[in-house]
Amino acid sequence: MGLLQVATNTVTSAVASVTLTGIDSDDVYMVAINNAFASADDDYEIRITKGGIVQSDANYDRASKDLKTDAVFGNTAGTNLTEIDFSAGIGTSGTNSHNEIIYLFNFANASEYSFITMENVTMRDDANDILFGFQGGAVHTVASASDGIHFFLTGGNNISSGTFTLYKVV
Amino acid sequence: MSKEYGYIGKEVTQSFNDNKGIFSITDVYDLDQDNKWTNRAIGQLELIETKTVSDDSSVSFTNLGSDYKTHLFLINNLHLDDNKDQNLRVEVGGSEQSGSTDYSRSFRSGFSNGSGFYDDKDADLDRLRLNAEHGGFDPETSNAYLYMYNALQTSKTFFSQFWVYQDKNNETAFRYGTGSYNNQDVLSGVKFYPSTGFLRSGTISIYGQRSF
Repeated sequence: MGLLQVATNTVTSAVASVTLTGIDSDDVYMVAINNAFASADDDYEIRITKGGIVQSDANYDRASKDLKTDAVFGNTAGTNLTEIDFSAGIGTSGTNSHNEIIYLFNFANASEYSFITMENVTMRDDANDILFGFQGGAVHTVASASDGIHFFLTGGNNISSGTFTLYKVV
Repeated sequence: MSKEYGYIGKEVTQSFNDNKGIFSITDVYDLDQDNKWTNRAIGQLELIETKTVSDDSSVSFTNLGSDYKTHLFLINNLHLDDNKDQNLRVEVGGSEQSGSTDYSRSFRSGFSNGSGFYDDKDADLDRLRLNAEHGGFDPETSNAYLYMYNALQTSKTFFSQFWVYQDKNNETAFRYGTGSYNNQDVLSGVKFYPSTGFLRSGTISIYGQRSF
């Protein structure tokens, strides 16, 4: 397996969102997020882009397992959502970073839905440094070509730092 | 800037993703060796090392490369002694880290023959217990990928993994989830080892993942 970097954004001062575009083939794509922090405890959200435009329609379905050290693991699921929640209690300190691998399938295929698998790991700033991770999948149920992925925080806080990189898997 | 690599032109640059000038074949080779030559097709996931297991009590990777934000371990066709667990510890400055609260984990396991599904979690461990009760008799084998985040930064190191294997009862099983090394250290190495006994055969590879 090889990786061909398509786009990257290293956040060093606060921004409201990060968008990575450049998906233009039927290959599988992958996103790596490293050492990401928020300006206040918050949750990362995903939307996809089509023609560079962020899609905020109510066509996101998702299901994931919530893995944590302090309680029975939970399930998070929903249909016809306007965004994909894929984290909880992202840290603001220098220690509890958010890290993630996301695979993107069928994004460029105009006849198929856009599929996402995600696995992330962090420690919750809002819950006594509890090790926490989501592992699951999501679909944008619109059969048209997608060209990118968009990250933002559900509570309106800023992404304060982190590296977000989109690769083509070759 | 010096024209170390024989660049021709006024405004020369000689860093990855920014090569300007005229190069000889030797220049290209030397730049590539110094990781200063742009090669988008192969440059972002780099094999650091593959270790072949042969009746080893442990397997250590002490070369983690440089500049990588994420590492990927591929564990292929690994055979342990029967009913043993697979553990991991990190090394800092060459010293194995084994404090009682150094590691945390939260894994989900599932089995094919009715043993069901369960959560496996610990907030405080002296090792990262990646998997448990491996099968030790052919064709029982264990296979996995393991991502490691921020190992080369002064920060906590995080892991996510996915195993598919056959356990001590010859049940096909999976285990996925997250782990952490909880101290803010730059790692110098990673050690894989079984609870007791030996790692009998298989390969473990480490890759570094770059972004520019």
